Amino acid sequence: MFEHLLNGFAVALLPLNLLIALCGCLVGTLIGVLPGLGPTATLAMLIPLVFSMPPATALILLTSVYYGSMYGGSTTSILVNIPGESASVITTIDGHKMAMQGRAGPALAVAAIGSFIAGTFSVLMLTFVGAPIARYALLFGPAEFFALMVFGLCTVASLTGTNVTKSIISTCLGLMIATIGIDLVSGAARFTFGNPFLQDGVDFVVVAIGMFALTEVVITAREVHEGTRAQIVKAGKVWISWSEFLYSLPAILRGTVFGFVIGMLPGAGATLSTFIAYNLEKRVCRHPERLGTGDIRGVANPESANNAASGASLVPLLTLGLPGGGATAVMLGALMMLDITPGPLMFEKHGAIVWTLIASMYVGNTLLLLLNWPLVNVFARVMRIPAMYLMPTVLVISTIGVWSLSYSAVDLVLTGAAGLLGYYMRVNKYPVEPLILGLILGGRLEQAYRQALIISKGSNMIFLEKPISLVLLICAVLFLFLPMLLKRSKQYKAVAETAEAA
Amino acid sequence: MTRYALLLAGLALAGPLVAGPAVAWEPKGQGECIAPANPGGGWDITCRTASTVLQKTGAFKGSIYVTNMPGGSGAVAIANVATKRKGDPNLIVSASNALTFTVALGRTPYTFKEVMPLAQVGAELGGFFVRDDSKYKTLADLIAAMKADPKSVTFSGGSAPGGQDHMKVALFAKAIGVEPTKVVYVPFQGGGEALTSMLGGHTQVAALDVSEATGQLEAGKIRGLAVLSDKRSTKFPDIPTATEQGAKVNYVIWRGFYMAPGVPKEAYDWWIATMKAMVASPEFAAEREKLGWEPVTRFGDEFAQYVNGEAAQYRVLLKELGFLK
Repeated sequence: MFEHLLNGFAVALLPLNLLIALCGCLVGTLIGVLPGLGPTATLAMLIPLVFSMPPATALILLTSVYYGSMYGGSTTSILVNIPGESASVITTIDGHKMAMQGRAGPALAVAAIGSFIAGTFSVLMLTFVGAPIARYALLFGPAEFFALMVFGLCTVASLTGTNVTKSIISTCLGLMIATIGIDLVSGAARFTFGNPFLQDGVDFVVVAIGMFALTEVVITAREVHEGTRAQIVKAGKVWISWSEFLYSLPAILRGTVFGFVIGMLPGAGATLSTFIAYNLEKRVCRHPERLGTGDIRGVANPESANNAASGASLVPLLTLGLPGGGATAVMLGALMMLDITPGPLMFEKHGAIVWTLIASMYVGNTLLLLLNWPLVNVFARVMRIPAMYLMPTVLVISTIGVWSLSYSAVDLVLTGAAGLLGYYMRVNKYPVEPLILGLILGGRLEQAYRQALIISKGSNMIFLEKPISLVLLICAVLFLFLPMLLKRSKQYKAVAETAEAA
Repeated sequence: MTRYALLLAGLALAGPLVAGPAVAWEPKGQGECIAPANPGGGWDITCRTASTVLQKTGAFKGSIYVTNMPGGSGAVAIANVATKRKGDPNLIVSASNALTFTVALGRTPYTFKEVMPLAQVGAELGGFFVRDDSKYKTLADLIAAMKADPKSVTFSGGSAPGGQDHMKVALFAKAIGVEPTKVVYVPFQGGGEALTSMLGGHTQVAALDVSEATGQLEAGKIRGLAVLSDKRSTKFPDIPTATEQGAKVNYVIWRGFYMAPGVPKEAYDWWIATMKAMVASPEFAAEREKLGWEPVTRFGDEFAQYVNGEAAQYRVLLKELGFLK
């Protein structure tokens, strides 16, 4: 195996391939930075190029862009409170607060370091134990997926430390938006008003840009106008300090493990892993009250999780030939065009190419870390741009991002509507993140529920009969109600104590 | 040497058809192929393959660029082409049975009659697949189980009910005298997920296209019970057809193109001749091999009649299944 890997490195380190990887990382990073263009869309746009390249080079380009865009996604989350892609939604919570406190540099740096550690961990796992652990993905059928997503949504309810009721309302709004489009099970068009553009549902990007970008621009404008805008603290040091790194290391490692485990399940994806990892972090770390106030661990954890997850989603694809959805489905298409049939025999039949691909992932991760070193410095300066120049630019770039989805005016109108709703929610202190997760998971959640019911011939007992699903559902209930119960017992104790004292 | 000879033969065949005196019209400027889906999917691959081969063989002088116009399983693209691109002689649009479903289900006000069906350039075979350790060793085992209790078998497929993969199951049920509405069909998003669920044992039989099952078939992880066609697959001739095993189902997935309405006759004829030359070229044969397509073709009026007939046939079946009133 080491011999194969070394051969892979020999090809991946050829000057041309190294150059392609560098370009891919750079392009990926920039595209990840732009809101609206996520990794899936970017890969899809590159597919035509794949035709004209040798297979190994083509795959190196695709993976480096994929990796790069996962790195880049956090940048706008931190700097302007707009997630570059869905897996960086959570990063906005602590990341942007850090930037406002003059710590954009360390936030960006920890995102890069965490991503490097997580990405490298995923590739190591893929290299040494890929096939055996990929089998565990097969344990997850519709019932187990449903339970996993319920668990994800319940963790979010206690997300930002705000009112649980408001979080639940926000989650439900997201789930409701997710019902727009053609229903996969009955084939009926729901809430489309006869518009073919709505048949495919509302894209996450449309809502996210409305809720984050538009809302941010309007609120900033209002604050500047009213003179209430908080002064951004002058940036301190640009790179992360050793003590900050040690402080965030446990969060990075936990994010990496959770991201990997969840990311490997087909269809669950990087986004869900960031939400779950962040909330578990909150339960297990020291000083959980600091999370949400601009804590560096709040960036380190989800950014590690999403990179571990995107690496992990390649494990079932490369070892079993099973795509995990989203970006890996596009990779599957690319492989087929290169005359590589994805499947369990891929390592045997196309070993040289697959090992080159794996080697290029190590290379890509390292390149990205090196690339981000100077870029952190550049990006951190964005915070010095006055709002009057920065915000209009954000608006233009976001609009282009929405337009590029399907060149449809319907999307722009929807973005506007999402912006209005987002503004109302921000002003009234409803957290936006649960809505986004609800929207992303809603379709899959409903689909998994109904698939499970078709399999069980209509009996809901299937969710309790399957052990994995049962455990996840119990955890979900605990997550939702335990904090309330604990709070109540504390209050009870306090009341009892005062009663005793009196 | 053989390759070179083949190439020459291909050129000799393509030459007179493209440059022959009978066809006076020649396209000017750039060509365009609209893929009514995102890059990487079947429609996108159809466009890119045609564009590459037509340019490589010199059949189209100039370049053919591919435009992706996703939305509503082809509904967005057909509406755009039928209304905004009338008479455009340089435009072709990729299509397959999936568009017939969009049309038959009434998800677009347009049908194949509002556009000009051009050609079918290949076909894919569908089939039923089980895990290698499945208790269904042959299609006969599956038929026996379904006849005893239709609800005892769980099928998974990569399309919504009333879509391509469900149709495979429904037609099969009909052919063996089982009420199609009684069959348990679990829809997934794409063949990959349907396959994963079957491999994980959550469903028992996957209704897929042969190309989607290729990787697992070659590895021996799954077994093909039947292909749903009159002829066996060229790539997997070991899998018997359903007809051979007593269930008469002929359900083939075509891949081809249509053009905008109002295209001049000369231009339409030029495209038919060009498509005929394309499918006969060794360059196209190589791509077809890669994609696992079967060499089944139809052109012009024959193709138009075929797709219109198919839409009518689907409508009848969809009514029977309760998806259409």
